[in-house]
Amino acid sequence: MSDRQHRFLAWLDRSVMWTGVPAMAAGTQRKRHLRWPPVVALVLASGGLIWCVTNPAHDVWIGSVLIIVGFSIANLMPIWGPLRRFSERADEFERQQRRDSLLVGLTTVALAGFVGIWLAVSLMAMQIWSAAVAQQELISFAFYMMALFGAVPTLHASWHTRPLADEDERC
Amino acid sequence: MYNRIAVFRAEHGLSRRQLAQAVDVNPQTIGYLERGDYKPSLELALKVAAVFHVPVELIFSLTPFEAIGTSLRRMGVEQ
Repeated sequence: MSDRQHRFLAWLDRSVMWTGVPAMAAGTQRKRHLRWPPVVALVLASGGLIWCVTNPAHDVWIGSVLIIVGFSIANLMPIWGPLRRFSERADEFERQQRRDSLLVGLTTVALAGFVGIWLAVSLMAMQIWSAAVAQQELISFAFYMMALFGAVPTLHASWHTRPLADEDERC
Repeated sequence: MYNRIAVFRAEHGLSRRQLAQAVDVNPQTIGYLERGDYKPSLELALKVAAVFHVPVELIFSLTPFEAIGTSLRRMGVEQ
């Protein structure tokens, strides 16, 4: 193999490593603080939910689109966020961080569920929402809760500790 | 909890990655430990102390450690 071919293959190897896919497959990818993406996801999803609740009769699709966009962003958080998945090897700091952040996330989802159920039941009891509207709102709310579950643990973990400087992480 | 892992690490010429491998944690965890953002378990504290061959109370303390300059000045006065 010529030197030029060898350099080209080495460059291809580096390119593949740069994508992060090999590290992800090996479960050794670098975990990063994601401080703002979960905020964006939650703002979009919350805005969409407020829109859906305040405009149940018309243009519900605007709220639904916002919730779905927030939900989609939130779903990326566990992949690139600071928390290690249960299938990944984690040391004691990472296990504690995951436990605390998931507890905050699940508490938030439980509170949202409590408020959502009572809001839906109350609005139906007062005949402000019809059964068809309630069904539509509950579907949106289900996506909102999944967005919460995806984004809140990452939000908590990312803001709870300050990121280490790059040179610190490379040491 | 206060610690002087960074001082011992520098004295032994160990990088964070090397210390992390020795005590079986992620290098970032050593960074958070040194910065005081994380309180280690007794097991991890003992492992860190074992790497430096010193008692655990020389590395971890519930009260702030004396500054090195102060210690040196005090030692100079005593001698």
